[in-house]
Amino acid sequence: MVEQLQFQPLRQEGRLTAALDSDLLHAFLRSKITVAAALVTVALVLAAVLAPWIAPYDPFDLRQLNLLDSHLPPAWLAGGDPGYLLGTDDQGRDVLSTILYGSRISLGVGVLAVGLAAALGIVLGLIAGYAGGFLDALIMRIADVQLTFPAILIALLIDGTGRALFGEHRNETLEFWVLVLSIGLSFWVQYARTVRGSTLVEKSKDYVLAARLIGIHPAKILFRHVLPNVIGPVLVIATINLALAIITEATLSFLGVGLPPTQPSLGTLIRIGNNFLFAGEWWIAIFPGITLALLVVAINLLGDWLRDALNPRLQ
Amino acid sequence: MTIAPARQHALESSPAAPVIEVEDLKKHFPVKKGLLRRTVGQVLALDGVSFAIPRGETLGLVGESGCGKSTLARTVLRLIEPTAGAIKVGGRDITHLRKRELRPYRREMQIIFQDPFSSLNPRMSAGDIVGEPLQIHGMAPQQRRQRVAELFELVGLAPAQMASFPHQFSGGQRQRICIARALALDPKLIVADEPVSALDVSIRAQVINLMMDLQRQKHLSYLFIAHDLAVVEHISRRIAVMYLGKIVEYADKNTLFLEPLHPYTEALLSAVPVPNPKLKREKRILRGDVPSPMHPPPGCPFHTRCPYVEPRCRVEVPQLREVRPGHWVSCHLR
Repeated sequence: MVEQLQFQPLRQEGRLTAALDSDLLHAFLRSKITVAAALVTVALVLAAVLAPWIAPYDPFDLRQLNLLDSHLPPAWLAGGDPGYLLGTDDQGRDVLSTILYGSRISLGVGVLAVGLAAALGIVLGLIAGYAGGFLDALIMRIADVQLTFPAILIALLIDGTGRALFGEHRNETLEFWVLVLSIGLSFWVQYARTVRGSTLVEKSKDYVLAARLIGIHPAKILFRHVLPNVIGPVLVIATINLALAIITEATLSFLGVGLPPTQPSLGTLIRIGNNFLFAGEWWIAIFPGITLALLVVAINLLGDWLRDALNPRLQ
Repeated sequence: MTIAPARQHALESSPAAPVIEVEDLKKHFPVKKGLLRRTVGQVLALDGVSFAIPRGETLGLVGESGCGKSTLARTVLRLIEPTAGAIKVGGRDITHLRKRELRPYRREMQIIFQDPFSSLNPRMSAGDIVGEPLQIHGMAPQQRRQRVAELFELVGLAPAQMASFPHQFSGGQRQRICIARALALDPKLIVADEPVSALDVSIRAQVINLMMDLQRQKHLSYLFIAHDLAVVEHISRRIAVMYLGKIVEYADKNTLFLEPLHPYTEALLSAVPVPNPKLKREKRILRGDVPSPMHPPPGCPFHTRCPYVEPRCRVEVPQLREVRPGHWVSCHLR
């Protein structure tokens, strides 16, 4: 009897179709500004990812640089060179190319830092919420102490420690990771607090008791049962934090403790351009600035929309 | 298709022993206050509870809300650690077993919860929920799928519904999923913590009858907790009445319904509606609320509300005594 039944696979293929027909998608398409923000984000991310293929020059290849081409204004102004659409900087690097490569670095730092912060915060939040008692108190008090400092200060501290630690041996790759680490470690608190709160709610629900009764290991209960039910708010925070992480990176780089001019992020570009702003060479700072602003605003709009769309009380 | 042989090896239980035996079980929750979290008192949620359930039988457990029924259910399953007393499964004491040692006994005892909405993980498909215990206890995916389909049929769900998610089911269907999950490991005991209280009256009978059918087929034992006496009368063989963390009366269901001995049981029974408007009955309405289990009254815990209270009830704690064969009661007056 049982053999004759046609069993459906536990995971149906219909999930993609369901996702394409979901409320979330309809809500997304209804909001014009969100669609615009998404388009801008996708365009900027694509441009950053594809930079080595679409950028007119490789700003890191010293053989392509010519100091005679430095300080050229954008192509449409008098004295501009059609080969350098947005002009060149003090080293003769094409501003458009540096922006493309720079957003690549900025986005990389942002995504990795948010990933690190989220992973750390989620794990600590789950443990604090589920274990309770001493562990909970310890983790959350550390979080409270860290909250009393501005994130940028923590990042500066960690960044400084990293630099002092590696001293003379530091190079561009190392500084990239020090930056990721310092931003990631300064952002985890928000995730931990959110996840802990939701975990406290979820762990008292009967399905968690049932899982315990089956004899599932606590770590497995946390990741298989609790995590999927607390992840919603985390996604929203992560999106908004991505913009914040990019800004933090830009701030650190602007302050001169981020990435070196040889490996410029958007923040570094703005700092370099800042020196020439009053000399009338505005394009070196303004174009990276506009790119940064566009990217951050677009990601923020997406995050705001996601927060509202996932909030059942606003539907 | 069963996983019985492995269990035989693990447990070596004697067939004569009751499926579960609980002796003088106590659970005291400390009450903490102030900045230093000092313990300022104890809530006596369970204050010396004993019972045994033989194979294939149902013990009904009734009592007001807050009397410790759910604490008892969770303590028996060791989801909450008891303060004192012993829990024996198939004759073996599991009270102090560590998590790893407890694992084979986890299979023996499962639970059905009251709220069919919080007892299923909303992010897992019904098939995954029912299959998870099998997966944890090491059944291969192919076998598992087949077993899950069998379980679905057993509880009256279509195997085609395996891919659906909990929110796509009704309350009664969700409770069936819970039953299927509980049955997955072929347990001997199922603790049902008010399994039908959250369901529509029309669905209740279906779920109760399903549970009784399964009991006959699988020779299951139930610890059936409810505050609805009619439901308990239908499914149970013996009934225990709880008041403030203690069992105050324990008897065969017919005996209990025909001749209740404890004044509290009397009051509970007189509150059961009878479908005959002309029948005039003597109503015993209890005054006041259940006293706080943090400050239980001295003497008999029921003396504050008992209509027959005597001076010694206020001083002396009555013991649970077997006043007639199989009929236990804790009252000075009987």
